[in-house]
Amino acid sequence: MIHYLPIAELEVNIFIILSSGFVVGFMSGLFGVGGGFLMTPILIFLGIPPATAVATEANQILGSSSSGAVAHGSKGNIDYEIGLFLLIGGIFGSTLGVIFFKFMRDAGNLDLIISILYILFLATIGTLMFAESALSMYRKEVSTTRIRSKRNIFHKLPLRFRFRKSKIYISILLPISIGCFVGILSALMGVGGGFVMVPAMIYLLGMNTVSAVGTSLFQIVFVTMNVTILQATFNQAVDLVLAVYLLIGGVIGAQFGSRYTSRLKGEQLRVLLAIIVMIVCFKMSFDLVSEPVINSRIIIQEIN
Amino acid sequence: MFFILILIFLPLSLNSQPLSFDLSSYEVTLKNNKKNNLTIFGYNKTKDLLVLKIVGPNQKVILQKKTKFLNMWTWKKSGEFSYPSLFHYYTNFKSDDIDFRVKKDLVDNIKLVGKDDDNLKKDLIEKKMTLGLFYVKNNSFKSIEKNNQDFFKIPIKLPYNSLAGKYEISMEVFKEKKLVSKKSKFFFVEKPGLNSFIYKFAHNFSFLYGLVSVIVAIALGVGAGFIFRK
Repeated sequence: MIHYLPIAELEVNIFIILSSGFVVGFMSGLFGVGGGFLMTPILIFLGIPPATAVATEANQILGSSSSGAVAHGSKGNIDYEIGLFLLIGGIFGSTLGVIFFKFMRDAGNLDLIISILYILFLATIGTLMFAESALSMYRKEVSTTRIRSKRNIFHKLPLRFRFRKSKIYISILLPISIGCFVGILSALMGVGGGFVMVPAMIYLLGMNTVSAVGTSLFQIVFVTMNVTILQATFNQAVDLVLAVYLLIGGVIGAQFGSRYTSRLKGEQLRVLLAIIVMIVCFKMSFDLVSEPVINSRIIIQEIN
Repeated sequence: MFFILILIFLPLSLNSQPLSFDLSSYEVTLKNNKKNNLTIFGYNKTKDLLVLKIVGPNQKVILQKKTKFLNMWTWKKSGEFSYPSLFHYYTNFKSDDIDFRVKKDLVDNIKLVGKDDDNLKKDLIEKKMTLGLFYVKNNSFKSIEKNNQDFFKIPIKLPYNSLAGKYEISMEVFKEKKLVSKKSKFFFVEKPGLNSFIYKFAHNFSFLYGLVSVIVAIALGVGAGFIFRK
């Protein structure tokens, strides 16, 4: 079951790639997350060049998110007004991210940047998630569908606009900034960014959870679309064959994962996810400081 | 097959030529398997040292090496080179002199853009050796017939990561450590199939490739969602 990946330019065991897609898809279904922040490090562990892993994962997230975006759109869960401003920021941020990606790749430091970003993000997410879940397991707080944000400095920003669907009155700079930040993450880390965007939309913008998830998916589809096209055009780093295998494994895994969600409590699920995130973070940190097995590589620039 | 080739080579040998060689094919198709993809057939009446050399299309590359930065390992651009993408050497017997010549030939053919201050050519050669793109094999001439040692064959396996393009194959004859004759031929390497098509498409029509990737991902995602919802 060995297959040659044309863009990654290496041979992989398809069974391992499909299994990885399945496992991450299973966790996506189980925990209700996109899974990009787990899939990209796993691909790097499997030997896929980080640039290809990031760009290909963006393409895979596009596929896995599009189905959810269509479903949420048909149920009226997308706030297109906020989505538009998120998208403006997202397109700007992701374009900026791809330019930076190319610059760092040419300089030879891209792998280090990707690893450091992942370690920082996984450590932060893992710790926060673990602490929050552990606390809520003791407190047994009842969650509400709408968490109104307290008035803070963000609500004093200029260019305020009334978003009728979400019934909020906020500055357009807020969704643009969130979108821009997530766009940069998407380009540099190959993630959808839902794990940042959804909490930000709930706690900072004051949107309800269902609408935040739907609008986030809407933004992710278009931003990952932009990242895929730009990464393919400027970095030739999107491996369509790899993306297809990951999508197949991921889609099937997600179906199984979602069946087990109801068997575990929300807090238990989050603690479990936090532990997985921390393990991946530890492995990335270890790889970054340990003596490399391969210490040289050749990058073809021109063929005569 | 062998007999047909022998019949082809026999008149050449009778024509008092001490050495002659030909290829099993002038168009080599690289496939992702372990089989040999090219065989050299020849006739050699001399007892001289023979070196079969295969040279791939020229390419410009960057060599990156891992270096420590704040206790973390990162890639650093070490050198820029211009050299043939593939070098394969096959000899009919082992000789220290030829070993030296082959290594010198490898080093001489690699042009470094800038100063070689860190044995970069040596690093590049080692890296290419591990990829199978630089290769030296002694005692690689196999007799076709038990009774007649004059007819030989050299089975060759070009690695799948060899570049597509025009390759030069030459047979060099050494007598008393001196090159006395050289015969060259050319053959073409191609990589058919979906992988090669995707590689070319991604590099030559990058924007279109990006669009296709987007369409394929959405079609698969929406399609799968539709199937599982049903």
